Amino acid sequence: MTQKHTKGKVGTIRILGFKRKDGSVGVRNNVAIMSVLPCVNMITYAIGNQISGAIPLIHNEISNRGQQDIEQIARTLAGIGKNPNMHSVLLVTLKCECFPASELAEEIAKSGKPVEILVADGGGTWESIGRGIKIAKKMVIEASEMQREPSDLSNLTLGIKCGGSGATSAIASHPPLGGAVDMLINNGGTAIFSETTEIIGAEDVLAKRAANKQVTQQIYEVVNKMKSRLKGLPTTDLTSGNINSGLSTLEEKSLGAIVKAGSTPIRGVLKYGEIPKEKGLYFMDGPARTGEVLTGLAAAGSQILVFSGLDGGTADVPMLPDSVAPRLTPIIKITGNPQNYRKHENNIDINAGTIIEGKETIEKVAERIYKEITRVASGKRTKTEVIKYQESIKIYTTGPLS
Amino acid sequence: MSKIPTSIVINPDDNVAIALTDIRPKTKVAIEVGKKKYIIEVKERISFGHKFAIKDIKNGEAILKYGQEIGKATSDVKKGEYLHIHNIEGKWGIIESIRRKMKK
Repeated sequence: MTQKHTKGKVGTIRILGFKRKDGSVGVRNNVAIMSVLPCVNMITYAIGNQISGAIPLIHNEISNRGQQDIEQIARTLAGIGKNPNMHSVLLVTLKCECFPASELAEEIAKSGKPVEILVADGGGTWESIGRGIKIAKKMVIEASEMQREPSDLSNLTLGIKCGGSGATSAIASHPPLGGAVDMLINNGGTAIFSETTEIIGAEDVLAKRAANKQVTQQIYEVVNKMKSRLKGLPTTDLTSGNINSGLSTLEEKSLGAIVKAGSTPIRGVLKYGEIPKEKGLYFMDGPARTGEVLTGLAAAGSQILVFSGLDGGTADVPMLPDSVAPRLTPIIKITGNPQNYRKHENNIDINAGTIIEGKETIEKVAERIYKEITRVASGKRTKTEVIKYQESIKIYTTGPLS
Repeated sequence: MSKIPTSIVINPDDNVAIALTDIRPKTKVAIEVGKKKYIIEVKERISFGHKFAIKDIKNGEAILKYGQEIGKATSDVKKGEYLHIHNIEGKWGIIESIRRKMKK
């Protein structure tokens, strides 16, 4: 069912992006210095931190994991390397090869971008850092020769996450975001939302939006899998807090969250970190933990992320918990809580609280969000993007640790 | 005269409005649905974020929010009346235990 009032008068808007060899378009032009193994994190960080234009990507995800998790981690790291926002990638590893860097490099190189491997072997930590810095410098200077070019908006993939949801989120933050997502998709773009845990109990609601029977089946499959994994842990029930804030049914709560993804049909269900093959709206299987979700969305090819909600105390968080993402893919933060925006304007990009105050309609704010997405795509920095502090990459895994 | 609206209808297909401030009983509220504007008298006290009907709704009829069904009415509801767990039921009966707790 379409939200008639948000079908845009907005025509196709061109963005200024970096055209990659595989046809994709980046909205940033960074060089990724990426740890293959956690053991080299310090080296990765030292290289990435020294060179302007390079982003150190460290993680702690490989050691003591089972095969299934290793595959998921590998797919995620490859996806991040392939992300159109990366001009080139320097993989940092050890000689031990307990995780094959060459395979990872090969996979990333399929995107057409330059990939190099730094093996921190024998010569010592500081010698390795020195070698890495020389390579990083070369890559960054090469990247700097690229210019932004007019590109079609249909090259954009938007990753969507909500958090800190409260009384205003489902009224003023998520609905206009959904409107903006509809506009993007109607103009040929792609959007991905996730958090399987959040739709437990509302899988029927989501399944109604499936583009075909196969997608319907996939939705039920991932929800049932997640349900059995979470046996005993709290799931999405209607809490007394929800009821006190006005939510009457579980469907209402779930719809209030899902509305952030707009109203277009769901084209497919992605594995965590999987890159969609076609345009349109996708649901990505995965947890609700912020860092892991944002990593998965970036690995799936999102050039821009949006974070909606920020009710209550969460507006106070300068970046987002556990998240490396701002350096990888710019994050646009939206709140529907006017007081939170006023207090934390420094950390929040879009004030949708104007809806609560009656100053703007949902449609107007949807247009504003859409325009902001295009501006960020063409180079405008977001409020969290310009903060240098950085966390390690968090990757979703489900297996046991040995 | 304050210009802050007291409610919002999120989708033109909805038959509920959400209060944007606490609304006192017997208050006349301006509703905007798409391009149409009209006035409804709210019968009971509605807290911020809670719902009231903007049309007469029959027992068993779908309650529409975000243009989709959030549950069914469990009694006849008149325009302007409060809609919540006492007269809406979702598909899942999870609510029963919470409802019993809240009734004390």
